[in-house]
Amino acid sequence: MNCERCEEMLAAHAAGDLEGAKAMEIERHLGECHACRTALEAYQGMIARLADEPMLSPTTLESERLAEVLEHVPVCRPVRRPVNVRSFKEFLGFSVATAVVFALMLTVLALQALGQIDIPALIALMGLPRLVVMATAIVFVTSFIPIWITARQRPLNGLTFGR
Amino acid sequence: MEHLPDEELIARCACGDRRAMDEIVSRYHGKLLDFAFRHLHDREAAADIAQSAFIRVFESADSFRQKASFRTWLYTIAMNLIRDHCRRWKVRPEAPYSEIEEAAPGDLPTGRRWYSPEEAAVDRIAASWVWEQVDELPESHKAAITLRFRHGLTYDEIAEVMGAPSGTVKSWIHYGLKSLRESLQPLNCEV
Repeated sequence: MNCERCEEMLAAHAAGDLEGAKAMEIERHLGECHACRTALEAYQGMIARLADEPMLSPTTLESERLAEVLEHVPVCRPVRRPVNVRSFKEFLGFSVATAVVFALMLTVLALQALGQIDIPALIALMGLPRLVVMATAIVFVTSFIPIWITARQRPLNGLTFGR
Repeated sequence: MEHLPDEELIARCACGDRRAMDEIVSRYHGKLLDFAFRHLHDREAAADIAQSAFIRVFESADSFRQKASFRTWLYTIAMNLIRDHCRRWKVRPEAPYSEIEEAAPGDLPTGRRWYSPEEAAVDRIAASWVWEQVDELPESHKAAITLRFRHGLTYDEIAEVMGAPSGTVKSWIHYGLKSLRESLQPLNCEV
């Protein structure tokens, strides 16, 4: 490396921005060249001056004025969030589905209470296998209806239900 | 509060914590004042810029998304305010650093090594020469050099504050340093 090339890279080197081969190359040259070393020291001194100059400190008056102004700054403003229509629809759909299922169950229980139907007799009439099938069907339907209504609003694990 | 990082403090500010606000002000008031003063050379205008920057920061504390560092955000706001001020008033700095030269010895930051009055005077004159030359640099070079060497921002942070690529910031700084050295050489000053 010659002095001209070194001079080109000296500012970057002084700023600590050279790495690897370039840094080693310039270091080697600086070890041999007094003039370039002096130039590097000039850069380093200049950078030190820029950093070392005392920072301005706020006067008491400036600090008081700032504190007074900041006293009136509303740091905790109410966050205005828009109503999430999609979430509201989901909530409504799930509520309706649950209400339908409960209404069906209440109807069955009311009919039993009024003596219109006799559930134990029906069970005895159906037999165990049919009872198991029917119970499974009821569980499936009562779980499925709310999920189906909800899933119409939002895809559920990739299922889109009628979209 | 002193041990908390800036990002935690600003999150607390968003929840209305006044002590967090005070801590941020104590950390950055002097720095912002200095940053604005280096550009405007008008103490009153610099104080106004610092004040406006803090107001903007605290008013929009809840919108700080922590994508950038807090100080990058703060300096970006300050930089924009400085640009607005310069545009509005067509500022051209005059008599730079007179206020620094007139500053009382008590204004020196604590933790700095002791200076005799003579040493301090020589030091201040040399530093003011350097800063006078910095003033002659193009605005972008000057801002980049100030942010890098005076405020210790990284190249990426400066790039974000200045709205320029990191590589461009690097070349601004290198060219700025070269120009400074060239302009200080004829003075034969011990910098």
